[in-house]
Amino acid sequence: MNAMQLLLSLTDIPDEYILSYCSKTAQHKHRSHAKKALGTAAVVILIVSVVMLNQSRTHLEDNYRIGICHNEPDLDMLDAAYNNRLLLDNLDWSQYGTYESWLYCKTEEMVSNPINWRTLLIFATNAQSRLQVFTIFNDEDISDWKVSMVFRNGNTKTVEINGIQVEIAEWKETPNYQYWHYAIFKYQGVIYDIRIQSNDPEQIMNFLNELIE
Amino acid sequence: MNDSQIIDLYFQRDEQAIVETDSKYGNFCAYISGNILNNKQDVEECVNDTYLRTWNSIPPTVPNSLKAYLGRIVRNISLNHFKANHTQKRYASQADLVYEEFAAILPSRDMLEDLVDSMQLREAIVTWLDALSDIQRAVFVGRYWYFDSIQIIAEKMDCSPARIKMILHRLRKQLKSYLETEGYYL
Repeated sequence: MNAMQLLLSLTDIPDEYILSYCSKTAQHKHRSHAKKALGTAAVVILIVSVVMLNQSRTHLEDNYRIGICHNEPDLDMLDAAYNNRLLLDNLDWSQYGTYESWLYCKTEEMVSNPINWRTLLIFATNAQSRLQVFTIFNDEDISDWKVSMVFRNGNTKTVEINGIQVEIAEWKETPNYQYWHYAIFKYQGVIYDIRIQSNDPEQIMNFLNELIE
Repeated sequence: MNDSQIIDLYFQRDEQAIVETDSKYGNFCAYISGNILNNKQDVEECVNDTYLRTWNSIPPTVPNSLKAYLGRIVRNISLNHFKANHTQKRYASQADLVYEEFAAILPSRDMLEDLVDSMQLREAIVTWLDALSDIQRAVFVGRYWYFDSIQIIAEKMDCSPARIKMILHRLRKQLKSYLETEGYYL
């Protein structure tokens, strides 16, 4: 089979598929045009936990290690992670290290190499188990969330991203670590809980402020 | 004039059928052909051939959707025209890009083209398309059926070109994996 044969074979797809594209109108809300973070030196360290509806929020006591990949040229890895939720077992954590060292390392790296935020892979593990939770945010799920979900220290507000109501909660502290309870939202039946965790919230805030209009 | 009335004209062998077809779907056919051929004369030729082929096929065929029916015919004619000219690189069109995108996921062949049962392949493709989300399917059809540019698809879907590229990237990989599983190539 060659490319032409494949292209020709598409000719006879059902009428409904051919016609539905013709009548395609915008199905998504117009993208937010808040200040774009692309190309700017912004560091966002995210710890993502998936809280199922029937689970208690005990994950708050865990210490997370995190890593972030952005898309190109890591598309293959992102796709592997997307399709195989056991990806973490195959990853070399040493390249990311703990979030503290990662934070400072990535900070400098991101200053000189603008991040492409089009796709983010966010994964987390706690000290006890290799895989706690992870999820992938990409344009198929939440468009421009990284821009729209602007953090406000001490404030709470609700924003809508692609029809998803996102609540940004306020700063919280625990004896073990400090974190911002960043956002809670429900998407396709699953509650996602996004947080920023750092031992240096001031530094995080400084970077996040770059995203604020 | 609605499609049923136009089809009746074909059955009555009234050449007004062609006039009405051109009036209603001429731009549509030219759009599809233009995305593939990008040459005005060739597009006109393909569209005219489309009308001729439609005239010769209705009756006995009664299309469920005249628009889709015409789209298929003009797409096929234009692709075969493209095929004849592609190796000569006579002109650039979206079809060149689309062709290369598909060629990238298929193994290169130095020998004669493999003979693949077209009907089986078509059924496999439809099965694969059925499993996609509406958005994924729309993007795929927009790119690989209509040969729309990334920009055009992004505008129609009201999202960024980057997102469209990502969706297409993943779909090509999925399609490749699926065709490999189905044994269409090694």
